[in-house]
Amino acid sequence: MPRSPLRPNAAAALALAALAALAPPAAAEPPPDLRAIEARLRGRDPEALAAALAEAARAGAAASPLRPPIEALAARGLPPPLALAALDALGAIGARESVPLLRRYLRHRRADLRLGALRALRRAGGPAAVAALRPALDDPDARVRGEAASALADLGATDATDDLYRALDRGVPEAAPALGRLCHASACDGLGGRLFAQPFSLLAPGCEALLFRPAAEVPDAQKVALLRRLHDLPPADVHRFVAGWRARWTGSPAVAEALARAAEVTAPARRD
Amino acid sequence: MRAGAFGRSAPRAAGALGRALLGAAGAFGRGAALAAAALALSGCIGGQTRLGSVFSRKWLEDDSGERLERLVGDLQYVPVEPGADVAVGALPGLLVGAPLDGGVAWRFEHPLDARPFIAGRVVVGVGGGELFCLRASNGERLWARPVGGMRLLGAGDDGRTTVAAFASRAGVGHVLLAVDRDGTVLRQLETEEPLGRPAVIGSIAFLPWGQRFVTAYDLTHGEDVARVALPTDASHALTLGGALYFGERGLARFDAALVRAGARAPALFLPKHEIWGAMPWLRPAAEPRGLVAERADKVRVYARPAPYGRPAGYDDDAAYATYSRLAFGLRPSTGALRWVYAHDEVIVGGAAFAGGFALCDASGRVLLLEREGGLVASMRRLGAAVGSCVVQADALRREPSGRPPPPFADQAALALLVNDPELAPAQRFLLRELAASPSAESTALLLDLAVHPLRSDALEGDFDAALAARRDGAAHLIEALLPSFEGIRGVLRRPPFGALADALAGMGAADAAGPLASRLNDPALPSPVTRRIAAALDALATPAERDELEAFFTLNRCAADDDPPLAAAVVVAARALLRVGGARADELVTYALHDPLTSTPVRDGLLALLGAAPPAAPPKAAERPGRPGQRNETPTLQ
Repeated sequence: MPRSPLRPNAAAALALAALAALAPPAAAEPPPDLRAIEARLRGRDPEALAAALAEAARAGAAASPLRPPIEALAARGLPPPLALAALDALGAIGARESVPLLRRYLRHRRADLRLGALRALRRAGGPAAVAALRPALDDPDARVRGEAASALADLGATDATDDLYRALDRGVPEAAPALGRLCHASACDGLGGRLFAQPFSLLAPGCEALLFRPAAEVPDAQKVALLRRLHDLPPADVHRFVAGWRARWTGSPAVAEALARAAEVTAPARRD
Repeated sequence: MRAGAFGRSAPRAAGALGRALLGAAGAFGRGAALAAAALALSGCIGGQTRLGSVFSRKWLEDDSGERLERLVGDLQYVPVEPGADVAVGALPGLLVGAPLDGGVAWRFEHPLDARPFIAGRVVVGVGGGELFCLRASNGERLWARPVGGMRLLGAGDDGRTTVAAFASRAGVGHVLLAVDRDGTVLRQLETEEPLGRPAVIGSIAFLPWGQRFVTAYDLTHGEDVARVALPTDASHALTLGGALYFGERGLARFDAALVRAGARAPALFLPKHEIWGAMPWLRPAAEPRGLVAERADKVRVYARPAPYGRPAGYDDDAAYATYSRLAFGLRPSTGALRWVYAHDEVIVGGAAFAGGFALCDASGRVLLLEREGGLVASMRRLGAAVGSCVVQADALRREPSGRPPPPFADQAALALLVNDPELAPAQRFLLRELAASPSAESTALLLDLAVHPLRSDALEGDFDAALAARRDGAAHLIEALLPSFEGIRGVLRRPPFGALADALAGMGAADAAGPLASRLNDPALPSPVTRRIAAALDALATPAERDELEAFFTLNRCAADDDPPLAAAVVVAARALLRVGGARADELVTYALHDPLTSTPVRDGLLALLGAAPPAAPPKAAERPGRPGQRNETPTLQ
């Protein structure tokens, strides 16, 4: 019978610590004792390690001095719960220097650890993080693919639109809103071009994101053209989305008119 | 063969034979069932029937040889009319037929109890309490007679007389009817002995009975003229290629040799094959032949006996076989595969002919395939989808078209791309045939098929085994390891990376180390596959692969408690790492050995590794994933 390196109470402690790390720091909370945390990080006691990593995560950027020992721990290998805690801590620190290690963890066999690495990369940001995230669009786990698409949008990875379109075509729904947030000029045409090939419910979040971006990023004419394309789609699929957008729209009259027309065209047939 | 002058045109000879009755006691009991069966066959009976010794098991063997020899001699002078070359499909209430040589297709509506028999140039069927006879070439109804609820066992026809054997529904009583062309019943014989499918030549009926005997019976005079005990089970008598045959599992030609050797005469059996086994030439006559084709109709071997005058054997040195949608050309002398034809429908019937194979499919198409290469020589439509199909090819002969057949590898590839679990046994055989070729081209073809979206799911493990054993075509396998492979080919299936790793390790393909290392940390691969990749890297890795090995080792050394293949992979990767990673690798592995956080099975493996490192070796074939009898790997080094 294989022995787990983490005893049950250690796992519980780790879970509680993780929850605590998610809570906003109390205003009167004393600064973390980095030396004490670092000392515990040198040990091999799983419970102590779990607690130290959780404290580092709670400290956020203030725990930056702990980044090297945490990276060293993770680089040598940890049991999955501790590895996840280390990734959370590195994500909380948010240093771009962690990207090479996080990139390695994006290839871990466990999807939860890949998700942890992905979240940390999103916090770290920068071109290296973007480059690391792009292959994650092909991850075998759907959650990782979706998170990668969202992360690329968060990081403003405008040069990743081709990858995102490919992901969209392979059935990553999160790629649609990411594209709606990222695309520029002709790169946005791909969304409209897929209206007749993909279910509208898949593309609607992308259209919505595109529609509500500032006119400086997406010209009104491009928005109006997109809305006109909706006229030819099955009305039942489209109308509820268009009606919702129309209700929220506060921008240019041209787009408002196009929304009204689209809502009218896609409205269910009236019974006279 | 020519049969003796026993027809109505030669009553004298028939009379002579008729006098040669075997003087045996008539062991002929008639139970109630038999009486009922006889009553069911109403109609005018044209001749007196003497039954005394017809089906007796007690006869004078010394006389038998002499009478049989006389019969064989007489039969030489009776021409045996070639049978029709025709396919007849059956479905409820309808027969559809088409001559194989291009005549007009026909249809005949009639209730049907079972699929019909093609006998000589007629089609004989039963249904709705009626026995009917059609001209095989055009479906014209020649006659019909009421037969009650009897089950038709088989029929023969010599152009003037039709003989048909029946069993009662209860299976106790059996009846033979001989019917003239105008529908007049010439003879009616009843017996409790099990009858088989009869034949008739020149008014001499050949009646298989008791699974072992055939009685020659003079229909004109109502007397048995001779009997023969056969060397093989015999529930069928049939004419083919001008000769008369008896048999079931095997066929025995009725000639002087058979008479001389008697029960010791050699019979011709269908060639044995690992896929089809030792198939009977004909299904037992007593077996019901429903309107819907069964497995025995779809998985069958076909051949023709060599024509009369040639040494006993197979005509054309050809045999054919079907396996659902696949048709095969076989060399019966060696069992070797000549060709395979992948059809788009299930094949439900067929017949070998001189120069090829005629097949009939469930959609009602009839194809003639050439003997060499299996090329489609012609295609006909019966006019309806059919439940079953009977095909007879007797005089049909097709010369080779001269068109070059496609290479066997291409034919086999097409056959392997039919994703139908029912075909798996035949496809496995084909795959082995393909894999027997040691060329790089074969490796490439096997790989293409393995990743093809249409190939059978049931063959996953077979492709894995075939590719793992390759020792040629390393470049193709390495290409398949690259991330770009799936994009380039647009394939839907992932290559069998474990098999690729085994093969490349077996080839000692140094160029494969990098691509293999790039797959080591692929999270999409199952642990057993990763283990095989690690084993290959153990043999092939260079310092250039150190980073990937190190990443794999560190990411997984603490995460393999419940995953024995992964634990084994980590230990094997550690061995590779120690070989190529220098001092840093030594330090890392030693650290892991002493780290309490390292998974227990990994630590145990490392302990064994650092104690004594056995030489690198690819995994044994029996341990590869996806094989029957596979066991969970232990983390010990292999």
